[in-house]
Amino acid sequence: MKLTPLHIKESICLVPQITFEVTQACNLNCAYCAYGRLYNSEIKRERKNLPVEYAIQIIKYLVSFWDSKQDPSFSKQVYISFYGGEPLLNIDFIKQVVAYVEGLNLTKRQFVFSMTTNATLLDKYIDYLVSKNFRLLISIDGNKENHSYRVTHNKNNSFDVVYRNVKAIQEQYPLFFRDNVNFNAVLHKKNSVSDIFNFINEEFDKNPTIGELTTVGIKPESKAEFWETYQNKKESILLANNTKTLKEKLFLETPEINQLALYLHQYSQNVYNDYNELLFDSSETERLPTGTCIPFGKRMFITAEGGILACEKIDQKYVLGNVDYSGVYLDFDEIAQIYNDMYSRLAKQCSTCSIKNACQQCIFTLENKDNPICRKYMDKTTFKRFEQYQMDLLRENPYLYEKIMKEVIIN
Amino acid sequence: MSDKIISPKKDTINTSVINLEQARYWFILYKDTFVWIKNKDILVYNSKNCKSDLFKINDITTKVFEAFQDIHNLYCIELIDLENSIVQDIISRIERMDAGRLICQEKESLKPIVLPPILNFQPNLEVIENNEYSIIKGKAAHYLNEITLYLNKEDKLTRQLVHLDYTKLKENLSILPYSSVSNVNLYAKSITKYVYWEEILEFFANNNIEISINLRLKEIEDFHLMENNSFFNAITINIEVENGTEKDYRIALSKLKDKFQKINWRIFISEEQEYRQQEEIIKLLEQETYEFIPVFTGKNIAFFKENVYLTNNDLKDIEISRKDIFMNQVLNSNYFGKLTIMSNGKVYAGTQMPAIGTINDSVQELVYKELTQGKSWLRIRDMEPCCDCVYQWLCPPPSDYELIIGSPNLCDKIFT
Repeated sequence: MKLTPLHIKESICLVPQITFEVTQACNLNCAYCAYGRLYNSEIKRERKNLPVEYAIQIIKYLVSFWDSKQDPSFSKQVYISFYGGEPLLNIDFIKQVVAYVEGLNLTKRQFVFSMTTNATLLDKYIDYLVSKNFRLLISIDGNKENHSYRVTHNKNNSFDVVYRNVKAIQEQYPLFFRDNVNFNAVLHKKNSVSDIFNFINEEFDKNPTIGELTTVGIKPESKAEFWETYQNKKESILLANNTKTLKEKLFLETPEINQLALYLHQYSQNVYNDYNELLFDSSETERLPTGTCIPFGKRMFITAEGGILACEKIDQKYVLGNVDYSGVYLDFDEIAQIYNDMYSRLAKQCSTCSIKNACQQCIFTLENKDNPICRKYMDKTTFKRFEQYQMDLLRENPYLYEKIMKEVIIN
Repeated sequence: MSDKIISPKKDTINTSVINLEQARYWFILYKDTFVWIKNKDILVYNSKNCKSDLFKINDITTKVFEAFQDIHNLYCIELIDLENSIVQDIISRIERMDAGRLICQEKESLKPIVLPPILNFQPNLEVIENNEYSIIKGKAAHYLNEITLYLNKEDKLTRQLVHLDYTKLKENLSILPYSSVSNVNLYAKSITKYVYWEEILEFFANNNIEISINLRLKEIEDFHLMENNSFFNAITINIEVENGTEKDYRIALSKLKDKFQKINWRIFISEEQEYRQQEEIIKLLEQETYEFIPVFTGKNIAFFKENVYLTNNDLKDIEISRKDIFMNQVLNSNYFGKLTIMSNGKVYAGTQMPAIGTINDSVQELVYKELTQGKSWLRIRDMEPCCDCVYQWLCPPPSDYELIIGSPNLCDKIFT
């Protein structure tokens, strides 16, 4: 199957999240930042702010789809997300975009505002964020020692400010805190999954999401330092003295349970995502290769420079279009062509890969785009071992089958 | 005694304690095997080879199959008393239908596990977990897969033809490229008197949608299509036959067979004699694509019981795939994805149910309404008496016949 301009048009119309890189500026200088000194980036970051006019052009462009008779949805929730740098450094932008969106009065779209923040400025703006019912994803790596890579430009640990601000929200706005605040932590050598979980669970009664450092795009000269900073999530869980509790509480956040859920969803023949999957026979040819999302199928990311990308995790050199004061430029034929070309470079590997149905490999995170080699490729023997591993996990934890089959929503 | 047949649950066993005299066995079912326990019956169905076996309930069979139904056992139970004749009978019948097997732990000490066929249907989970319909809302237009249009109909009072509003229809169907529609059925009192007849054919043909024109046999003499119509290849003619004579058939063939490659006969029958007469004609004329459609007249229930209702033997012979079993648990394949638009603009998801809206409502609204409040697309056999029957999910989904006859099912079970 190939991606067509119609697929792109449809996914733009149904885009569930628009993420604005409000500013490149950040008041922290985290040692492991993906835009920081450990990583290559062909795009130079100059503390630029995204002009609010660009954001309004993007929204106007999308409204033309949402208002059209050809919108295939009955209605849809759209997240308007603010990302950085530290987005609260440009609160005027946020306020103007929120006001614009609130004035749209669309019948088929409901908007939810969300933000990823380092929490250092929450004391100044929390009243506004609460009034607009923002969903907050707060970055915190655990206790003060665990958090010590997250420093200011003066190299001071930001923990005390972050902790004070978060505690203040918990006390002043308990319902908002309960329903709208979540935590994200980065795993590294100064913390562990257990440290992170215990701290956030005990202090804030929440289960955090925990991410590893991104292993793509590291400068050759920084590799040694990177690997001194990096810690593997699966190993961290196994080494913990509360492994069982962590697996139960973190559940899908646990890599091996996540992998099992993915395996069961794709290979058990018992999971159906949609009525049409039950009604019609799907063939091999109807599947797009690799685990790359259909562009804009999950989100649209607008960089501070006005670049339009399919995701904030993709290197900004892979812009799919642009926005400026005059409007939005997105060529559906060209985007389809870009993706189909990239698929074709992996077609041979994908055709013999035994785990292609559960592939999670994004094309954009592969090294050497001209001649990519997929490190997640599985031949029949490897896949058999992988399958055996899943069966062993189920044999040891039979409750997982019921829980995954009766509770887990992947969509 | 029965307490000792299945060993208590445990995660691992110590192989060093096993010897031939005290051999233990794993008894497994295969992943395509379904087990249903209802009232006095236990049905085991192998969806791979479509073999089934009905077990009568007693303490031991219940214990064995309830253990299989315990999802945490992952379709593997441990047997420690193979001397029991009932257990032996179960094993041999299961092995005979290739639905499972017995494994001596001497040969396989690690507990085998199998993934029982339980459905994880994401849109339903979303509703159960979060009371949310975002999957359905976002994809509403995708679920439309067939449209039936009644282009015109004679008004009973004025005798004037009421025509379907083509402008409104075309506007509403601009969503077609995002839908799953591959076929449209056209009906009319007088099809060629529909003002937008040519336009409507062109509209669907341009959207790569196959067109089925449904004509009554007795009215074919009045049917005209423009000569050299470029859409003929995209058109199937369904000829609806009620008490047709050989002459009627021949007139229809002489008029249509040179123009249309695809002609289907849909022959409505309400009694045996009619069936035999029509079958004789259709064979005489060497027609190959035809179907007989039973019609309930209110007076021919005996004919239905004889020819339409499922008997116990029919139930035993049902052949249905694992996926179709799951489908029966979720949706009704007779109706799902189909909308009927009448010439007065009313829209139906099932013609025996009230209208779900009008042509002024968008397809997305109509689909969402049917999926969340409707009574046709998701009408499954979850009602009595079907919900108490082991064949509940093997039976064909409920149809219009049940509604017209006024019976919840079309099988012998409620009459015996």
